[in-house]
Amino acid sequence: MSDNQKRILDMLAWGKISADEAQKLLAAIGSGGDEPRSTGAPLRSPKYLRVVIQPNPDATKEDDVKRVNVRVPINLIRAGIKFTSLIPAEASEQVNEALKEKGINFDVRNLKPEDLEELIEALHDLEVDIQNGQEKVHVYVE
Amino acid sequence: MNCPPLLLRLDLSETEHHGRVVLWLPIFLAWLILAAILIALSPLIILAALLAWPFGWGKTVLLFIPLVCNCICHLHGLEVNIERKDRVLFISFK
Repeated sequence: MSDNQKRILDMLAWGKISADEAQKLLAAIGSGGDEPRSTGAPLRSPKYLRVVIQPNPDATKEDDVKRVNVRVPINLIRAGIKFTSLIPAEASEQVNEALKEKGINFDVRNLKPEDLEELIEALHDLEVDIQNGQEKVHVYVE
Repeated sequence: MNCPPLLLRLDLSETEHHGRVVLWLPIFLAWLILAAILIALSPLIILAALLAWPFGWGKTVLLFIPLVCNCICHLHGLEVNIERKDRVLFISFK
């Protein structure tokens, strides 16, 4: 129950307002109370991961202009992640060591399909923009 | 299980010569051939998995092909578009 609703009921209990007035006031504030109301359409599950590479408009070198636009279905990523379950323990250790050599401290054995679902949910709010001298990279879900 | 993509659209354009090639490749034929090969090879795959099991690779051998098939079935909607100054390549799975 929201603060406003409680205040109206208190006023009714103290006899400051009539039952009809309380009813009108409750109807006016609606049933949402203090809970956040959704402002738009319900959040859809993302279907595609989009990677767009565009030449930087500020770049001076125009000899080899390259644009890349890749749309990857999220279900394909889900299917690909399942391959991690096939990696034998010895191979996982080798992969982890190779990643560590490259400066990435990550254990591939921790990569599980359940975690991926959480990651995909989090992708709703994620947009990556990388801009260097020549190119601009934009990664987002849609 | 999803249906694998039936067609592959391959679009090659050359801006210099104004040439454009659009190919609609019936990749469902490739899946049919692949399925026939897999069915024929399945006894060998099972045997290889049994032999590799003591070394820890049995599960990998056994599940590799179903997982590849799963990936193929989710190729729908994959699009790759690469544009260079004089050339455009567009690949789309339908």
